Amino acid sequence: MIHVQELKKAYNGVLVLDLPELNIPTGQSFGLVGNNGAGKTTFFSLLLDLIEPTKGFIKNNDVVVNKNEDWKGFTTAFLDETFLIGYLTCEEYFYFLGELRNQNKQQVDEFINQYADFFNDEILGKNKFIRDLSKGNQKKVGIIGALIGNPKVVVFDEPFANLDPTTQIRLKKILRNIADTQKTTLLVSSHDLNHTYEVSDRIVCFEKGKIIKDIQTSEYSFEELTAFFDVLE
Amino acid sequence: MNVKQLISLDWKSFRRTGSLLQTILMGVGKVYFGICYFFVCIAMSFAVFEVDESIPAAENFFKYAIYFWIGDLAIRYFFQKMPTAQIKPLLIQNIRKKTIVNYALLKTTFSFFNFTNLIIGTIVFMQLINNGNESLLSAVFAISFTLLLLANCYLVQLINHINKIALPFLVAFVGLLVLDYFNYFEITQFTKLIFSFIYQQSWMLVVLLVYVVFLIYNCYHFYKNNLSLESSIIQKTQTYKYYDLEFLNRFGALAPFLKLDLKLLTRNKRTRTVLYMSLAFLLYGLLILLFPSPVFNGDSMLVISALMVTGGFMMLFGQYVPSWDSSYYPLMMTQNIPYRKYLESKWLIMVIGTILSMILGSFYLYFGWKIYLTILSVGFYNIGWNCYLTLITGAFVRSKIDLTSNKNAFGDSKAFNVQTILLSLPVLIIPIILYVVLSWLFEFQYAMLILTLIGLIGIVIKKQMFDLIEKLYKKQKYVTIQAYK
Repeated sequence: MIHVQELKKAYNGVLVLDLPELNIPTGQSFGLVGNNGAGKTTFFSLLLDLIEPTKGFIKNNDVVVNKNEDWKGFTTAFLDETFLIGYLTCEEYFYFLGELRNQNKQQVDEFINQYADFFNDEILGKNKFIRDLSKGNQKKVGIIGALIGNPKVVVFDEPFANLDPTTQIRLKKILRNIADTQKTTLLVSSHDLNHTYEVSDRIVCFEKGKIIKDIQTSEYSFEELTAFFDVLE
Repeated sequence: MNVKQLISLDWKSFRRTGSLLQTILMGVGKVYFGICYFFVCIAMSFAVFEVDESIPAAENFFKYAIYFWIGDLAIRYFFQKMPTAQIKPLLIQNIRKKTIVNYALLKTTFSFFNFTNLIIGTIVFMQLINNGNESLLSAVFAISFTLLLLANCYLVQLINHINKIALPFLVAFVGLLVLDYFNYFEITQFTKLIFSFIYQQSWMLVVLLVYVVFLIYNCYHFYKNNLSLESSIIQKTQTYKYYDLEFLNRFGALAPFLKLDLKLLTRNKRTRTVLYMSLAFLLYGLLILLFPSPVFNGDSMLVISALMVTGGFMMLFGQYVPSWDSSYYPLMMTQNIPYRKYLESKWLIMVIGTILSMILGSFYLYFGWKIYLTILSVGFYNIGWNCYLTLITGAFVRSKIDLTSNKNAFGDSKAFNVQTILLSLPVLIIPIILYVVLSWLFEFQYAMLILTLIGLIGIVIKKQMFDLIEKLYKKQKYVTIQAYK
């Protein structure tokens, strides 16, 4: 589904990302770990064509993302709060996204209601603007918003950060369910191996813009993985 | 932490807002408007004594003094900066709340407007003396009057935090002005008594002094009580009922964006200011029609006012496309949005705004059909060409806009750059040239007809223009995302 080739990104001559090759097959749940500044967000920004590659390219379902916009039809993302529209209520935000993805109001309503648990009665039907929600609740809105309209590729940058433990567990379940369908390619980044281990089939570790580990989670226990990724500590 | 450190913080925030060139250009822009304001104030202070030569000069001043007061308040309402920014990082530092508030109040005391007030006061004093009034009484009155204007500095801070007051305020101001001008209801008959009372009774100086101190005291307490993150200054939690905009669905693929833009315009402080300012622009023509003067006469002034009347909203809104969406631009760039539809919806909003202005401007018919015909033709020209031009300007503006704060209209640091200034010139200059040439070649009616036709040609070649604009915006994509970070 996603094919990265000879991808390089440099700022003022300093190389921050250098990926000779990376392939993510359709339906894979892909976990990206690494320290601050490892290049996780840079990689996602390149994948979403928010920044321009210095060299090389990323193909999303055979579409070169910085040449053609067709990937937008099947890819969604939630990277940070710039993916939220503060002056909408969360329902309006969901309907807006739904309209862009050819979902009518009913479909959106049905879809959101599945996640009533996740919203924990604090968000839906409260007629509050998103800008007035707490950071954690804003994040929940963004995450569910990205799942509307059956996207084939979903990108989440640090989805677990800023959420309370109960919500983290619920989110893991949601993401695990999506991963189990094997239909959606799910890209999730995190500093915390703990979260990615449960959600992802495969974990890749970035360090200073390069891949230093690339493993299938099913082959190892969590303890083995922790030892394996000791470099992160 | 003391006031000195606060000053150094302010200085850094000023220095580091943009490149040196931008800072300079912004400064030039501000200075230009400042000087204009300054000289208008001075000229008016002199002129007001000689409006009606049959009555004593001082009487003239007492009659019109209320306009100085209201005008000063209105100008301050829109342009005086509120000292509320950047307190979040300071709150938990070792600094007394008292110091922060005192510093904020001190800062506004050095406002440019207060300086202008002093000059006005001096002129009033000189003019009173020149016209043979008693010097002691004149001096005390000049000081009292200056105090009354200075008090606006604090009054405006108190009313600025009650947002709903803006529109009624504007309407009341203009209403009074118009009623008084047409002698329906001479508010000045009453107010002149007040001012002449202040003149005759020197002890009123003390009353005004108390009034100023009272306002400062209130400001101080307002800020001190609201100096927390949950205060009304920083954020207001609002709940809104869901309202149905389904009727917009007839616009098909444009509908989601139109709905979004309507919410953008009505739900944010910053954009509501644009709406109020557009209403003010609608009255721009009155300035020239009601106060004709040899300097501001002639056809080109008429075109400029027609441009302002019909194009106020277009310019105020259009120059910040796509900056209005800056806080969620990455979202817009990753959704399944055809860029063209996004731009077309912005264009449509501007067109609707222009048409509304043309309809609302129909009260200019009172001044004769020629004037309204000019407004209509220029309106069509605006729709046909200037809407594209402002969209093109917008592509270069790229200033991150904080929708929730009500910065003054010139407050956005990166709004003034060379490209913007150069690009906004054609918006005004081309129609003036067209008008002058056309009215020289043809009779008035035909000249207007041709100007309208030129506008319609612009609408016909929409597809080609949008090809160009879309290409331009796409080329700017990465720079724009970066600038909004």
